[in-house]
Amino acid sequence: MRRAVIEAEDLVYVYHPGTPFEVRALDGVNLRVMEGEVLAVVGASGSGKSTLVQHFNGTLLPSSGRVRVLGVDTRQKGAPARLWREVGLVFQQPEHQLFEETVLEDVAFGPKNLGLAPQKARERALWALEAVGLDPGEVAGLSPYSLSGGWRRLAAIAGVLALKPKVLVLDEPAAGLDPAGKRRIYRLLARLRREHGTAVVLVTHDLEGVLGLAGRVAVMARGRVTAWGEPGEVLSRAGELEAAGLEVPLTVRLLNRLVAAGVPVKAGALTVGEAVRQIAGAFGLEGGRG
Amino acid sequence: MLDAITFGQYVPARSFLHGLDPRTKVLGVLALGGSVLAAGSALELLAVLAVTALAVSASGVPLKLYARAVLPLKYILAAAFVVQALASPGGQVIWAAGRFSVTAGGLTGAAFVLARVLLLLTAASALTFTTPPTRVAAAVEALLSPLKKLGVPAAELSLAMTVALRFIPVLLDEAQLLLKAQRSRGAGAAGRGPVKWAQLTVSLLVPLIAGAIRRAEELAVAMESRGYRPGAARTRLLELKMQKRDAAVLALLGALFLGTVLWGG
Repeated sequence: MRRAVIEAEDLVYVYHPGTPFEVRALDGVNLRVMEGEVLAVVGASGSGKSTLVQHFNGTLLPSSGRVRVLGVDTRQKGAPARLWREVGLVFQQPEHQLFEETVLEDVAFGPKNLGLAPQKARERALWALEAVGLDPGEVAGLSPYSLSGGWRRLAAIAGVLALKPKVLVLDEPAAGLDPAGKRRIYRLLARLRREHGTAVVLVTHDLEGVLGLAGRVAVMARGRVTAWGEPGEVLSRAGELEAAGLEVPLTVRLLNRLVAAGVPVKAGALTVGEAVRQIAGAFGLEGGRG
Repeated sequence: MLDAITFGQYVPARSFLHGLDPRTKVLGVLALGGSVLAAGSALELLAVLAVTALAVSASGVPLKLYARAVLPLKYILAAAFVVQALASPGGQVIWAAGRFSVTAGGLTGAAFVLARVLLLLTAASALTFTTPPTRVAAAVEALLSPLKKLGVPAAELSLAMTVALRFIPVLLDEAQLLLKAQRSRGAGAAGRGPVKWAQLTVSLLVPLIAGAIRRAEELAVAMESRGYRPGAARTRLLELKMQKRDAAVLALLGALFLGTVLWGG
């Protein structure tokens, strides 16, 4: 049985309590992130995803309920000041958060704050740049502002990765990137999990994009988790996805219609190929091709 | 620390003050501010306080928000009070230690200064809480327009003001996000001291300024693509319109101002 690295219990978070701007962003969230898994948190804008993940390294503290990270309650005294070492949090559009003169120095900022010696911090930064697929020889000495948007995003992710966190949390890491850039990010996350056992929490509204990557999916709507489970399981519950304001992949909609029409297929196909095989099998055809 | 709800934030609501013409409110704040400064006696200050309280209750904004607008200045206000109390002699000595002494006159003077500053802040907040920045700017433009003949670029001044006011909350939000992001990379975690403080400041200021420039460029493109030309005549979506209650408010505040100026010479 794998351990939970992050546990949220009845988590409630209210922005600006007691003012006309009061917003109940999280309304009783229960969620676990298991060791070494990739968990995708999906939901429409304003569903509370970003607020939720900012609790995972103590950036936000619960209004009520609690969050435990590696067994430690985030409201424990001094916990938020330590948690950034364990849980790397990549905020939205991290490419706008770079500030050092060179890419290398920027990526080494975190390791230096860990207390590593300059040489060690440098090595860590070079490793992180390579890990995200940037060529250190090419980009290390450049100004972050001279890189293209996609590369700058990768450099920013490297800046968090360089902390070697046990859990990596990314808020919309692929938003606004071209398809190749998106695939690069998703491949990177899959490799991190595989090679380093890093648990990855991925916030996104691109459900289809993360199907192959995520071991589990949690669907959020109006500050609550409305559905969770393995991707196939969640996909087969198209009604709940639509209620959460998410786009249900075309293949899944087709399979659901077939199920409703009495054709013996399973609704939760993750890829087009799988859907084709299901349909071909149900109609007694030789499937999986074309 | 950097809460977006602070001095200068518009609070949407329906209230008497929200419904007033923005020109009335701008003139009103000027008159009220003038009265605060002109009030020379406790009685006059009480009259100003009464009118300010009336404005606050007519604003439909919770008192808590007024408190929040003032609270960040509490140390400065406390320091001003102490200095004023020690520095202005006169009247009966209440407490003395070496060269320093607190007198009845000093305390009264300090109380006056404190009351004046608080009243000014409250009056200004009543304006900004109940009036969107664009409306404030429209009012300023309308009030300055007689000066256009003298070459004062009223429309451009008003636009610059709109943009500045509009971007205060945006930049505060951004600064808050940056603070969170850099803290998540351990900024300010490993010890304190001037060097660490400088590092944290740089890690916030560089991206904040880069972001402000990026936004300014985007705004310029967006405005030009919608046909904005500096100096060209423009119409407004929401025309300014004075009503009876505007006249009543102006009469009240005008009387208060004249009263405080003329009273006691």
